Amino acid sequence: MELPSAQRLQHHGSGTELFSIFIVNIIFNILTLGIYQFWAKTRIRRYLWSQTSVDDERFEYTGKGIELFLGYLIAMAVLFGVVMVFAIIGVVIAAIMYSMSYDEETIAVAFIVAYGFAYLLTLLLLPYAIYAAQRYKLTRTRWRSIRFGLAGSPVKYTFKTLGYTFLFFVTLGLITPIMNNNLNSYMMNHTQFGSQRFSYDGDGKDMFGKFLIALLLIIPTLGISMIWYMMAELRYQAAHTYLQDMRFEVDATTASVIWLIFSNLLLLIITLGLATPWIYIRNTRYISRYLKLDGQLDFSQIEQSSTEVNAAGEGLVQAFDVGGI
Amino acid sequence: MTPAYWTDGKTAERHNVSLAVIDNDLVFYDEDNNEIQRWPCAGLQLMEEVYRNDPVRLKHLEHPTQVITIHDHLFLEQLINKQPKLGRRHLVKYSATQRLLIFSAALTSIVLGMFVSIPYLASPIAASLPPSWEQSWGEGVASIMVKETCIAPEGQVALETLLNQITAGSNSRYQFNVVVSNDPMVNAFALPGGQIVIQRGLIDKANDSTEVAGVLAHEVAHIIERHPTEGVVRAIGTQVLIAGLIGDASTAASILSEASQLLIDMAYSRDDESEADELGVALLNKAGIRSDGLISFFEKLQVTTKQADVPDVLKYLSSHPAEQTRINSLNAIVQPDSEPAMNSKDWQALKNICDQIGPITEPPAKKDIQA
Repeated sequence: MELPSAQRLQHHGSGTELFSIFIVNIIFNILTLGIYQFWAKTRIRRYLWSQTSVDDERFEYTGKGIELFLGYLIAMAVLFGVVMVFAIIGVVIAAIMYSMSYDEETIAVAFIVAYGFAYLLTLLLLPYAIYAAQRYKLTRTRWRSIRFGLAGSPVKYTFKTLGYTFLFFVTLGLITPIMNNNLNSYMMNHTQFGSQRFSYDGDGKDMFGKFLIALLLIIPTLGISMIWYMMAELRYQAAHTYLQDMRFEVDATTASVIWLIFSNLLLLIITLGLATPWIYIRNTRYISRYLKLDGQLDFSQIEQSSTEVNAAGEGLVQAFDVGGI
Repeated sequence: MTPAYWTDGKTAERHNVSLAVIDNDLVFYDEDNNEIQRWPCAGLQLMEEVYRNDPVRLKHLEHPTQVITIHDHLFLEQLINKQPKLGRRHLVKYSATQRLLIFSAALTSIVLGMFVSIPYLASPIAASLPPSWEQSWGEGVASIMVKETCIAPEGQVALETLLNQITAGSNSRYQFNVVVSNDPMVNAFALPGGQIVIQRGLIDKANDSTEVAGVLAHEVAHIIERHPTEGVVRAIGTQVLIAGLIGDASTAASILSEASQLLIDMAYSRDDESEADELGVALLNKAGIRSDGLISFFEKLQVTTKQADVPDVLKYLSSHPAEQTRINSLNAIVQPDSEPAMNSKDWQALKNICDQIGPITEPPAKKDIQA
């Protein structure tokens, strides 16, 4: 069986249905003093995934609340450990400096530096968390009973990100198109559908011209040129992503994404946040509307892969509080 | 027989099959009507919650990677008869709108119920807390609130003697302790567990020892009645409820750590004040001390407050609202003819208690004064 050419995702969800899920989540959150949030998130994901389909086949979300909860606990323990280690180092340094009779102010500064360093180190865990969370989400996503996956190493991804962040400052941001391209390349080339790897053959240099234009126009356009650039980058990245002979295409325009963001914000403000479920549905619909899958898949060649991954990374993202749904 | 899609979990291929329920098994047939496999109904699970018009997706405990998809909800009903647990995720009884209304009503009544019941629950909860918790709580707050303590020894002795006289007849489960904080504000605080903080401004402002005794007895009464603890329980309960509404566990945790500020900002209810007034006067009467000090102190504060734009130095009135009704009911029970609280020598010593300033959080010296 093969996928007919030029498909789009379809989203069948309703804001009303999701809203009642939200209310139940709120009730349980109150009764459990917020601990239910991990199960709540799982419940919402299961709804969004199962209401999204390709080729009349819906996605499955197989994650569990307990996984997110344990992941969060592990991540908190790690963060706590890092901060504690540096606090102890700070105390030791302070003690040594005291014995060498430095004045109190210098000692205080040294202690604060050690402590600040601990916080910086926890920030360095962010790319790790993003990669691990993406891996968790993919391994818990199935389509036609075949799991997605993310090979590669979050540690490598972290070092790559740190390297590019360093270059970002050295080149005053000019490295951005290459950084974005290469980070996406690492992640995409390690993304799998069952046994089948996705492949990405974009080149950051292709986007350099557009990036310069966007940079030059950033002030006269009040930053909108950057949104335009990000959309162009997204279209470019999609067009250079393959799964077997299937190509991806995003045909979203800058105007449509600005309208989406603006109208979402407006809705949230008017309803004091009550519209959140509808926003989720709107966003998923938006992705469905503008993501096109073009080409053939040979399903008999796509086999189940055996990788299983724990949820600690997802927990880290929760701990950093950058994880939406 | 019901048509279904089947993915076997090995490849992404999708097979057309037919399903039938025979005995307690779900039986799969291929397009040539050959039996492929059987799943015992007992292990069937729904992949996700199924709403009206949704396709139904089933997996089996022993075959967790395989999925069958059917569109026939009646067939699912048939399976639910065999395996009732499936019904939990089959949410077709109500439409989305109906579910929304039901859950909204449930949420509203739970939240309202909790907000309404918190004040009633605060008192039994506070009563069930061990005094040692309250005590360490109060000491914690005191160490934040008090920057410098006044520790001139004669003044301390005078004040502690007065406190012991007042509390002698109380039979309270708390161990009382009083410190004077070197702060120009005119205020006094009762903290959970028996700790009382008097700010220097109050002693400066007081005409005589009887006024200080009135305030002190009033604060002792607050503690005996557990008002500070109840207030904190109430405030925390409300905020934790709100945190739960927002769905944030870390907020709930941080609220608990901010309990100290709650105590400092807290204002008592009218009922609490009247209770403390009555008990305070009763304690003074029992100790044989003139008990009209609180009245004269209030009256003086009110006059000063009316006179000019007194800065918020006079916080005592805002945390202890004094109305004429309170003064009237106090007048009914006070005994103005008893002995003054202190002799003039002790009163002078108390007035000068801030001649000597102690370090920030030094616990007040424990002296064995038997009153």
